[in-house]
Amino acid sequence: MITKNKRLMMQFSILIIIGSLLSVLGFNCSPSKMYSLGSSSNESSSVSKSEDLPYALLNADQALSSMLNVTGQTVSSTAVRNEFNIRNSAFAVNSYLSSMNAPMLLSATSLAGEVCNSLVTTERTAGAARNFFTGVNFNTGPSTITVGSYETVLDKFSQKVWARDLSENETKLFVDYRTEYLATLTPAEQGQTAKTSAFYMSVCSAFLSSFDALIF
Amino acid sequence: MKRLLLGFLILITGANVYAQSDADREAKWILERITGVRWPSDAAVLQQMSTLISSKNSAGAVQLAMMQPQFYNITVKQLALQMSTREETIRTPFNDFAAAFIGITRDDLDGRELLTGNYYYAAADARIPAGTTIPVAIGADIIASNRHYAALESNSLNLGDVLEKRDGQLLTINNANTTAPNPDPAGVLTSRAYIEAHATAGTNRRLVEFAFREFMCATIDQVADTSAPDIRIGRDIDRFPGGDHTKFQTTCKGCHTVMDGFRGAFAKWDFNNGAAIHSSVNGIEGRDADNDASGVMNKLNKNGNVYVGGYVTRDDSWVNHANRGANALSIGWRSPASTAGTGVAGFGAAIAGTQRFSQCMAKRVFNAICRRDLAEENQKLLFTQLGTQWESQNYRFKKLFELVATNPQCRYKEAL
Repeated sequence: MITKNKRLMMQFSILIIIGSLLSVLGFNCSPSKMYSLGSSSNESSSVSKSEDLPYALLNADQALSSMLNVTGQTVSSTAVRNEFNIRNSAFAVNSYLSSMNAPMLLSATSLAGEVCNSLVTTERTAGAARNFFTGVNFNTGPSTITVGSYETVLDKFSQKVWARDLSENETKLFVDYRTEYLATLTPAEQGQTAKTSAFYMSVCSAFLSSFDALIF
Repeated sequence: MKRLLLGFLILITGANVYAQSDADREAKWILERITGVRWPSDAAVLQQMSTLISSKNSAGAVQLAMMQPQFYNITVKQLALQMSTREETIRTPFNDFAAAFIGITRDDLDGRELLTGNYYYAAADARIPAGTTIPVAIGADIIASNRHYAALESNSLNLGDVLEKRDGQLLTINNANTTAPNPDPAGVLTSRAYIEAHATAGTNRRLVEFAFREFMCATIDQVADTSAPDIRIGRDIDRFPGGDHTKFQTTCKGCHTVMDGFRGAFAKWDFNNGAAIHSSVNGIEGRDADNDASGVMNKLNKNGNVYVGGYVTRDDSWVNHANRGANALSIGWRSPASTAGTGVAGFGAAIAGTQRFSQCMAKRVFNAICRRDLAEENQKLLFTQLGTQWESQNYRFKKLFELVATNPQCRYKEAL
């Protein structure tokens, strides 16, 4: 039991680290397909100088609505609403980037977790109508996840959530995460279908709670 | 020659690709700012907006963005919620004030009716999805509590779809189930949310203070005028604070002459047991013991011994003491009835008729979608211009959103 908890903790830590790195490294550093609003590595340094920025922070309502919108969900589940009610107060009430803080990011991750849970549940049985997890076999354990199919999923999320390509750094972080995730699982767990769903749910959560997904 | 043609072709193609990319970026920016949420890059509405922008029809693109449910559910709702309470925060349950704002915007009504309309918005029974439980009793759930509106939000209903305009504002009599027509309707100024926020306890001065604050974007000290007469200042205001009459003349009087001049408008209003009350309605069955024979709430004349020579409110008349000197210029009173009047309806009409009201609404819409701060000197020029344009478009809020979203100053300079 202790070993299992430790493993879960380790997986959660890896997710947090990925999220944090994406927040910092992935702040619009990839070429944009649709929008950049003047984004460049030079501009990210001006974040602390002024609030007159091309970016605005999403508040709680906006963050939830955005998460549902980019994942193509029109109705929020009871679990999502409950999570929203719990996390709502940690979000900012204004649009200043300086209002972003650790509790808000953690709350965004929790909220994203429920939204992604709902998405994975829907897509698992959606067959050809899947929007994100095309090519994913949810009926096998995570040991069968190939880098190729995984990168297809990453590309879908990157385009739908960030509206841009993944940078090399970001791709590497996600690929490393897959390796580390598998390494934390026992051989038996690597064959469990629930672990495949959990893996993709964590990837989805990392996208939805990243810095880029919480601004507009 | 072939090479020249090829080069020309490449140049033209390249320019088109660039233009398309710009249009895509513009479409995404407009859509996200109008709806307040992020969108996936392959959303169908984005493609349509991009095409409109490519054909130099940015206004059409904004109109398309405003058709998305999030425009009402997020952008307009949050803009209104911030104006509806004392804390001025979006972390407020959905209420009748915000419902009216959404309705007036959606139905393309004259924006001045926000302060003058004799109607309210609530969910149409037929538009509530089957299986969704919304409390709909007019008295208990809509007029005397916020249950109806809170349930619309907690059930994530599409506010732009479910709300319907209901003519004739209502107040409850004695108990929550009996209603009577509101004798002094003034749009959101007589909404339950606004009256609860500003008439709870106090002396009804806050109702005036926040009317200036929310609808003219002016704090009361910004319109303070120590040269105006103090004839309307109540008996509860000390004329010798700390034994110093000069202090009253140079500071207290400035704000109180404006607030106390106008507060007669709200003399018959109060908030009690979860509902907005008006003495002429609730007096019918003697529900409220706080009003004297003239219907003036006792709170307007309390602490009468602080300065016995002060003004005693005996009716709901008001006088405008914010229409001299700099105030006349910055507020731009226009309605002939803006020098004096009676009731909240008259007060609301006077406020809605000012140039400042139009400029303030432009500022609020600008803040809601552009989310950037402008230098003071640029603000004045821009909001004056937008306010004038809005008026020429019959005060329709959707037009104002369109004007603001397509204004170059809405965009961060590097994004232009």
